[in-house]
Amino acid sequence: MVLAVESKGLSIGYLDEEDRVLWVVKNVDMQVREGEIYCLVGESGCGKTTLGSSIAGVLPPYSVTRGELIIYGRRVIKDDLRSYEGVRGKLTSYIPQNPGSSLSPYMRIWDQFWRVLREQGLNEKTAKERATAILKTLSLGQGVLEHYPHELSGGMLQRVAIGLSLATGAKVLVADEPTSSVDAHLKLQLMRLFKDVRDNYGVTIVLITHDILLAGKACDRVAVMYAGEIVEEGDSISVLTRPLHPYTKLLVDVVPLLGFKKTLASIPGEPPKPGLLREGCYFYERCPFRDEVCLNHVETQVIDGRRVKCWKPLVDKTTS
Amino acid sequence: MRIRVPTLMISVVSTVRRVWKRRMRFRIGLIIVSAITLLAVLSPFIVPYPSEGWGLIPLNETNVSGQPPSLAHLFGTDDKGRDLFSRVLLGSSTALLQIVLVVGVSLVIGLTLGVLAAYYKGLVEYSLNYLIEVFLALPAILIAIPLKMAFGPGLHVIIASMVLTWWAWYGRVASVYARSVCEMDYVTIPKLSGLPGYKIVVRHVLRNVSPPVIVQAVTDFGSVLLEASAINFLGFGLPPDYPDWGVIAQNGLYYITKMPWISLIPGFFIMVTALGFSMIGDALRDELDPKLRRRWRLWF
Repeated sequence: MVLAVESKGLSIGYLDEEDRVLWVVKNVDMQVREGEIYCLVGESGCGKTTLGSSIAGVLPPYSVTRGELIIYGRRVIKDDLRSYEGVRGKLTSYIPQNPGSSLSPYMRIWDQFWRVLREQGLNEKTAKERATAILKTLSLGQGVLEHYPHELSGGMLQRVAIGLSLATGAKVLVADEPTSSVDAHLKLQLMRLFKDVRDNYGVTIVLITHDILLAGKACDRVAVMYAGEIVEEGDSISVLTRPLHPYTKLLVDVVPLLGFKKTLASIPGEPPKPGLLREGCYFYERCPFRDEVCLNHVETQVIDGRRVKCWKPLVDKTTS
Repeated sequence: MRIRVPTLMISVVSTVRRVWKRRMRFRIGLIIVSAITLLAVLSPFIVPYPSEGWGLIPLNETNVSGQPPSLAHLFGTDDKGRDLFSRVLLGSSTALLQIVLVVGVSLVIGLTLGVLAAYYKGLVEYSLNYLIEVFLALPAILIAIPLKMAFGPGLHVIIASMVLTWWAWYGRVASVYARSVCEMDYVTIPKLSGLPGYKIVVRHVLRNVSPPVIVQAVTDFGSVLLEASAINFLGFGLPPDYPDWGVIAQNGLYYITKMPWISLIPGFFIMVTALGFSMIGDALRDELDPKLRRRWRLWF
C-alpha cells in the first residue's frame, strides 16, 4: 500500500495580532492511500480547509506548523520548516471552492490551460491536444477552450477547474468544498466525475466537504474533524452508518432524509474557539455521552480498522 | 483560423460596437470626435498659413488685423493679423495632444500605483493612499503657476501640472477595483504558492483592473480638455503665441466687443469637442454601469 499523504502529529496555527498562535489543526495523524477518495468532513471552522491547504501547499506565510507532513515520501512540513519545491503544482494541486473566482476573467480557457501546460515543456500543438483530451474526459468539447470564463455555466466552470488541476499532472488533488455552490443534481454529477477522474487518471483525491451525505456517497474513506482534530477515521460506509465517536453520531443524526420520518436533532452548544489547547476531549461540553473522565482523558483506539479518538466509543450502542 | 486579438482589444471593440448600436448620444459624440481627430491629423497638411498658425505676425499686420470671416480668411484674422483658421486648425492637434498625453501618462501612473497599493497592503498601501489623497486635494492650476515660473511656459507645464493631479483619480479608482480583484482565488492562490509579486500583478491584477479604469479615463477626455483650456486661457500653461484654443480665446479677450470671433470661434471648438467627448463618456458609463442607468431617457 503506497501512502500518498501521511501526517504525523501535524498541528497548524495562525499568528494573531499579538503574535499568539491560534491552533486550528491539532495533532493530526492521517494516512491517505494512493488512488483513493479521502474525505474530510466536519462543521465550518473545524480546520478542514487549513489541513487541505497544507497538503496543496497554499498555507499563508503567517501560519505556524508543528509535526510532519509527507507527500509521496517527500517531507514537506517538518515542524517550522516548510518546503513544497517540486511538490506544489507537480505532485499536488488545488481545486478551489468557487471556480468563478479562481479562473481569471480576462483570459480564455485555452490561455489558462496553456500557462499550466507550457510549464511542462509542451509545445502549443501538443498542449492543445492534451487540453482537449482532458476536457473530453470531463465531457467538455474543444470549443470550450476558446471561451472566456463568464461564458460558461457554473458546472462547466467547475469541470474546467478540475481539468486545470489534472493538466498539472498532479497525483494528489485537493478539492475544497467543490459542491458547496452547486445544486443537488450537479453535486451528484460532480461526484461521479471525481470517481471517473480517479479511475481514469489514478489520482488521489482529498475532498473537503461539510456535506456528510456526499462524503458517504462518493468517498472511499472519511475523516471526521472536530475542533482541529480527526475524531474518527475509517471507510466511509461504516463510519457514517455505524459511528463510533459521539460527534460523528450526532453529525449523522442531523442530516434530514427525504421520505423518512425522523426527528431532526441538533448538536447543542458551540465548538470551542481555535487556539484552545488543553487536556482531555474537545467535544466534552457538547457530548451527550460525556463522563467526568473525558475532561482529562482522551485516547485513540482502533476498532474494526477504524480509528476513533474517544476512550469510550459507541461500540455497544451502534454495533449491537 | 481565428485571429488572435488581445483580450482588452476584444472587450473594447465589442463594447464600442454595442454602444454604437444602442445610443444616439454615442454616435453623435463619436462623429464629432472623429471629425476633430481628422482635422488634427490633417492640419499640418491643409493649414493655409502655417507660419501665422504657429504664431508669426504677418508683415502687412496693420492691413489685415481684425478682419471678420471671409473667403480669404475663413475664420477672420486676429488682432495681430494672423489667419484664425490656421491657428484654430493647428489648435485641434494641440488639444488632442494635451488630452492624450495627460490621460495616458496619468493612467499609467495611476494604474501602477493604485494596483501596487491594493496588492502590497500595509505600509505601501497606507503611504500610497495618503499620497493619492494629497494629490487629489491639489488643483492643477496651483501646480502650473510655480512650474511656469521655474521652467518657463510650454506644453511641459500644462502636461506636468495636469498629470500631477489627474493620476490620483485613476490611482483611487484602480486601487478600489484592485482591492476586490486581489481577494480573488486567481490572485491569492498564486500568491500563497510563492509566485513573485510582480508576475501576479502584471498577469492577473493589472489585466483585470485596466478595462474599467480605461473606460473611466475615456469618459474624462472632455474634462481634461476643459481644464487644460482653462489653464491656458488664464495664461499659466502655453506661451501667448501657441496655437491652442484656450490661448487664442485669451488673445481675443481684450477685443471681445470689436472682434468677437477671435474668442468665440476657439471657444466654440472647445465646447463642441468637450461635448463630443462627454457624450461618448456618458453613453459608455450608462451602458457599462447598469446601476447608473436612468429610468427615463433623453430623446438621444
